[in-house]
Amino acid sequence: MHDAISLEGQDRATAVVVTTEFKHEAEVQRAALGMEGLVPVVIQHPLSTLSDEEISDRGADAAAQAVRIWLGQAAG
Amino acid sequence: MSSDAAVTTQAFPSNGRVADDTDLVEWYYAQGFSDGFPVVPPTPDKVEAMLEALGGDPDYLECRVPPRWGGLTRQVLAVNMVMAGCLPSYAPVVRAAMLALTSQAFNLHGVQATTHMAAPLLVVNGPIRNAIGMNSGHNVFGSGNRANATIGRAIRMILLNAGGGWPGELDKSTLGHPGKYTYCIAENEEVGCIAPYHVDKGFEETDSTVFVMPAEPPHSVTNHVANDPEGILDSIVSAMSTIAHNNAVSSGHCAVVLGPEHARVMAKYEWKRHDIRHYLWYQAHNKFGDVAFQHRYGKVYNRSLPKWYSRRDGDRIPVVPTPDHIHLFCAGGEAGRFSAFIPGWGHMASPVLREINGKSPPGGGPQCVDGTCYL
Repeated sequence: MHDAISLEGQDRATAVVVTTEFKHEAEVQRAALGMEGLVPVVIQHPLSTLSDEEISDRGADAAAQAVRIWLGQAAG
Repeated sequence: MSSDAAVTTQAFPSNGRVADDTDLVEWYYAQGFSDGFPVVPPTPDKVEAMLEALGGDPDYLECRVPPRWGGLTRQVLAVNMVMAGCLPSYAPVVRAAMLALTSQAFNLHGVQATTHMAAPLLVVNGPIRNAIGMNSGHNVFGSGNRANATIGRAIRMILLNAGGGWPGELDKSTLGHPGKYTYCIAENEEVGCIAPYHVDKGFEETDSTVFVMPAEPPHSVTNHVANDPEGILDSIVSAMSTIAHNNAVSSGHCAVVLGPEHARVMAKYEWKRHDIRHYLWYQAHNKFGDVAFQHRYGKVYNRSLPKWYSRRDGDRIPVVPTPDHIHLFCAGGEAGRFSAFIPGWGHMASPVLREINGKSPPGGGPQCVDGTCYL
């Protein structure tokens, strides 16, 4: 979130990826760091034991969300 | 209506005063300002005494505490210290510890939010240990000493109340450990077998310091047989050489605590800190194949380990990257041939050593190059 806020501060559209378990923390961070409008990409927890196929699915999900965020089509 | 319900329905009074007959212990529970134990009500006179010990100026902002980034003013620091049961004489230690914990190298944000069980371990060195009555002897990691208990508890209260590290909320630790109530010891410098930790790092014996490191609980190391350094250290090596703790898969720093009986054996053979740390580093290891589960679940590279580690199945993987990543202390009671291994969190955080009164550390503090920090 810190990196994303720094990059956004340089006018670089950024999509930060968090898992569902850390969505609330991401929301707290963006509020505490003064960027309420920063919408995170949220993918299903957990990650570490996924198969290659499951990882691909998570990646496709994340990519679709990132595109919506970059195009300003995602709701906070 | 139960008495619990009666308390929990009380709103914070607009004039800042509660009714004279309020059960303050229950009232603070109801406000959520507790680590689970009863707190000492922060009455104005107690907070004022604590503020005075902190240097006054209640609105002075000492630091911000992640992940909520609450402002730790001296007023907030004083209130939490009183609630934890601290005496004003502990104020310099708690303040220094919070400044160490919130320095960038420590990565308190990660420590607070991780699913790992890490809790900040505090080790105090120098004359202030005895001046405020800290325990560095028998049961050093256990109960029974006000300074150890309440300094560590004050840190936790601040991490909760200012940092927002409430379980399941922003603290995502799967299991946690008892050190998340309090995890504070003093080094037993009086044993005198090895140089005090802070002296080894360039401070004077007359300086007082606090060391902080995110840590798993201590793992007891028993050795009642060996009467030479290698034999004792081989038992510590055994505790270190497992794939279960976080250092094995995430590298970083760890701590080793020598009990006095074990430390005296080191001294008998004139083994110094340098010798002990290097022996432990050289001998403690895992095989990459074990760390990688023999690639049973897919080809494993493990980018959390240093890239210069060789990754063939039979290759030795050090438990930590260098002997300087092993932080060695002497602590505990005179009787008993026990030591302890304390795994850290991993390469995501670096320990911090800070002089209690803010004296600049030798070399200026943690040296961070390319994302890696060394004390």
